[in-house]
Amino acid sequence: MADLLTHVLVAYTVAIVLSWKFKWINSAHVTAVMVGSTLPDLTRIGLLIDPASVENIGIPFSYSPLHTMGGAMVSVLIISTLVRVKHAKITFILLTLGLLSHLALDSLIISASGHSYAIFWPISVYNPPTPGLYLSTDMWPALLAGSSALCVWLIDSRVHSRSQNI
Amino acid sequence: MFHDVKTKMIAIILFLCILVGMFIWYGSLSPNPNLNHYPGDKEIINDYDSHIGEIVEVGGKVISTSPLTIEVKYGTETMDLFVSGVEEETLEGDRLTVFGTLQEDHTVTATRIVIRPRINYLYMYVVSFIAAFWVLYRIVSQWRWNRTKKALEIRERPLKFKEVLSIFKGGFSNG
Repeated sequence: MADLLTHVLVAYTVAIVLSWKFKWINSAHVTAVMVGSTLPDLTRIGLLIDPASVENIGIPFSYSPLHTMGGAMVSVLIISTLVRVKHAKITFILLTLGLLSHLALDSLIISASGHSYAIFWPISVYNPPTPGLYLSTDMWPALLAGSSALCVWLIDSRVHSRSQNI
Repeated sequence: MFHDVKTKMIAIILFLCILVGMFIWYGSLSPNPNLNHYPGDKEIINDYDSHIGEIVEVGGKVISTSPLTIEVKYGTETMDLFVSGVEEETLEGDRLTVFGTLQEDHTVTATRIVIRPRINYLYMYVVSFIAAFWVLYRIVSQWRWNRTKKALEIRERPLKFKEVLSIFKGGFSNG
């Protein structure tokens, strides 16, 4: 997984650019896309509750589904259900957009085997090949994403004269 | 989607059950090299001998550079693995992922490796923390928990920086 900052910056950039086309996208909607882009990294819950300790009591266990299309969609459904009905559908779409940007970025990470992970699980357990563009610990993806985010923020705040809370 | 609070709660419990079911389902999956899913840290630590001669993908911290040795971890269990066939320079503390063939005597012959320098891990955690704070700030500023409706909704007016800070200080008690 790339660092969380890169994911959030890319989600911000995508959401702002989309808001130029779809005028109803406001600051809170941009935040929803950003939240969606963090959801696959909920696998970090493993730092609190170790999956190995669950397996020790005889139950096979892995948090990896959170980082796949299927599991991440369930987490999107949970959050969308918590949202007021009038915002629920649009929140669902925006969160999904954010998580797709996360999974797309992570599918480009360099791996030793040359293959990514089971992104499309549970539809498929196939690990697709990765072009291997960057390492999860590289600094340049966040710099590139940060520069893009800064550009769209400048354009958005000047050309559209709309107050977008950073 | 779901209109009344009771239906929402049932839906959330159902989704959580599905998620836990997925955790168990995924945990029960075995590696399948035909689908590019190779035995990893968990399989090797649990049953090393049955994977000898197989292509594996393992990762761990470099604990020695001569001979190159990584510490593979799964849960609280660890295993030291010698890595042969590596020409790239590594430092102790770097993270190494190795794609190669598992040999006897706790050795893996590398076909390809990925090195993540130690210092870059610190960078990754720091910027990820900044990102998490930024997102949390925006959520608090632009969304609120409606106690009557028992649901999240968009604030009519986004909170200013000072107002968000006061909510952080008050432990979100102001909603």
